[in-house]
Amino acid sequence: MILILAIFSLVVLIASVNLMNQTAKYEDPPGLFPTVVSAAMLVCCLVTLFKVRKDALPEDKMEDVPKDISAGAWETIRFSAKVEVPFTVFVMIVLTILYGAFLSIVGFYISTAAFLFSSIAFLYRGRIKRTTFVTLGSLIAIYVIMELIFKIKLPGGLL
Amino acid sequence: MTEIFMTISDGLVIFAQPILLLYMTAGVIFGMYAGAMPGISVTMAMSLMVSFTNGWNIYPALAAIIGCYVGGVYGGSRSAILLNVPGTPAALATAFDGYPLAQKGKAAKALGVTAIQSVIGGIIGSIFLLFCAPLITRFALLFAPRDYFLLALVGIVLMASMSGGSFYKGMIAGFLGMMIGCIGMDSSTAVPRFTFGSLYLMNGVSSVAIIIGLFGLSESLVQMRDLAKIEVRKQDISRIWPTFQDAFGYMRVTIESSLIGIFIGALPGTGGNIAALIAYDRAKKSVKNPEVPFGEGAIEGLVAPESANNAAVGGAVVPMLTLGIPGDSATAIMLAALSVHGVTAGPLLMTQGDGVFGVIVLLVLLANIVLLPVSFSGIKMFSKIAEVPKEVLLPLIIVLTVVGSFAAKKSLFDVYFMIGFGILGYFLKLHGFSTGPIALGLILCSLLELNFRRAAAMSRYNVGTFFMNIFSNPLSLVLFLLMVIMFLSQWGVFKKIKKSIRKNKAE
Repeated sequence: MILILAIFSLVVLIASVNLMNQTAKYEDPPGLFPTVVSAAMLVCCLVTLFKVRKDALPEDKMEDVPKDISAGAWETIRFSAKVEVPFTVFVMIVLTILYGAFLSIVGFYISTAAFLFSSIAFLYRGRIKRTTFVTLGSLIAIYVIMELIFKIKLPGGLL
Repeated sequence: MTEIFMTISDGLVIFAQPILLLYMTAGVIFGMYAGAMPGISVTMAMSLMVSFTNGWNIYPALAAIIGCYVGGVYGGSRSAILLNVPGTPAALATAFDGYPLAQKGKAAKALGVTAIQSVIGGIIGSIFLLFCAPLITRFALLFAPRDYFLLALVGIVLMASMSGGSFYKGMIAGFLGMMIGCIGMDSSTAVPRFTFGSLYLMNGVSSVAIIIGLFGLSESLVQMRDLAKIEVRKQDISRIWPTFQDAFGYMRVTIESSLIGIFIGALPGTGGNIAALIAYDRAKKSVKNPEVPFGEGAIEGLVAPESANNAAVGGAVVPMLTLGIPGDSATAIMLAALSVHGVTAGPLLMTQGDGVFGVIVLLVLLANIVLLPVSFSGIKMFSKIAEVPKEVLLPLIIVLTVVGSFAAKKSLFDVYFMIGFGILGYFLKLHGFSTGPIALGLILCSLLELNFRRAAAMSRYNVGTFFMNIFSNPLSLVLFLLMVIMFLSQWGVFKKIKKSIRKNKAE
């Protein structure tokens, strides 16, 4: 993660310096602040990277890590992915992204009903009656609070 | 003194519009129940409230948001006591003795004591706000742009150092927030920055949507990692009113903890969670013979964190109102709400804010008074809500984050940003990054940049002159030294010096 953030800050730093050069005619350069911020972030990332290397996991704490990493890169990736995003979280992230994507197509109520039903059914393992009750109850509550009380029109979708 | 009377007279407008008291009470109730739900933090409840009240007039919106803040800070204690799951981070220390009391069948007593102590602590904090904020405002008028820049930076450094985990990770998070804040059209030159040609990004990204994603969605995803570990218990709650001794018998601890809460809350970048932990630690050291040992259900262990975290509300509002620098994430959201309604917090708010200053101060005081009857309501009902399984609660929270981020600007782009930053926040949290500094960096970005550029222009873009200006001004020098000390303490320099002095003495 630190490495990704370090690369990100380096990219922003380059972009900010370019912006500084492009807007050199201005007395108050708009690229100055982003340059300072991205440079400071890059320094912090490099210090953290250095510390991470210094405080690397000792051998005796490496029990869970696959021993023969060279034997299978796939196994290592699978292990890392499992630690980073367990199956439950992975499914919920996918469902949330799909929920967001379908909001503009089928509208708020249909996509929310589908998201709530599928996610509660998945997490709660098959209690269909209760899941249906919670889904319908929540939709009614949101409709009453948002549309009737707060007068906020929720997305209708393209369909 | 004149400023204090002016603040009170401005605040009295609340009584001319009794509907404001209704909005405030509704906010307290919403905040309390939201804060009581594990997974819904005060910040998240407030961000939802900001999005709901976006189109309202300023006073009703402020009444609801401040009520939500005060109610939310108290509400966190309920699930901390009943489930050992703090509803908010500020209630973490409450769980240390609250949950053992609940296990002994004294949940009602614990809930009653926390209610009374929260109200007393909150009122002490509000009185401090009423008397000190106008005086600090006068002092804040002396601040030059470089002082504002340094103070905002001190806030981010403080939050980074106190957010738990690595200091550098906290700083990276703060800088990340500032970078996000740089997206959009530059306010003084109209040059687009990091917009990739998108018209939507020209106005910058919605801070409310990003904060909802970072606090609401990411926290829900993090909690899904350990769903099996959270156990829901049934509670027997028959008597909720505490005895006179339980309510007022620990006044020394109450007052001491409230003062700690005010002081910690007033430091930019800290908040109720740190105040509660420090107050708990202080009570543990100062109370010599508690009836029950700390950690096993000591009443003093409830009194200290609860009075401190509610007193911290008054403290946290002080730098937000007087300097435009939020005391914690919740006041950062309040600052965003003020800017949505066209109000700029800072030293001029008191004289040029059309009475908003006084209204906010009085609302904080009144919300704490209203909290007393509200805090005793629904304890029995809440015990049922607290039994809602996480498998049902977390998807509902995700739906609320979508609704909240959409409602702020009625834009689907905000929902996409919320989801994106929610997922990013999940990975950041997983790797030990706190999301608090990101929110603070994002909120403070415009203040930091504006004052940094002003200070740079005043020193003719010369680094030497910039530092000379700092060293030649006492206030700037104090702020600069404060930051240097914080950096040195994070690098462990003081510990090393102490160690070498001890070593020399021993030799």
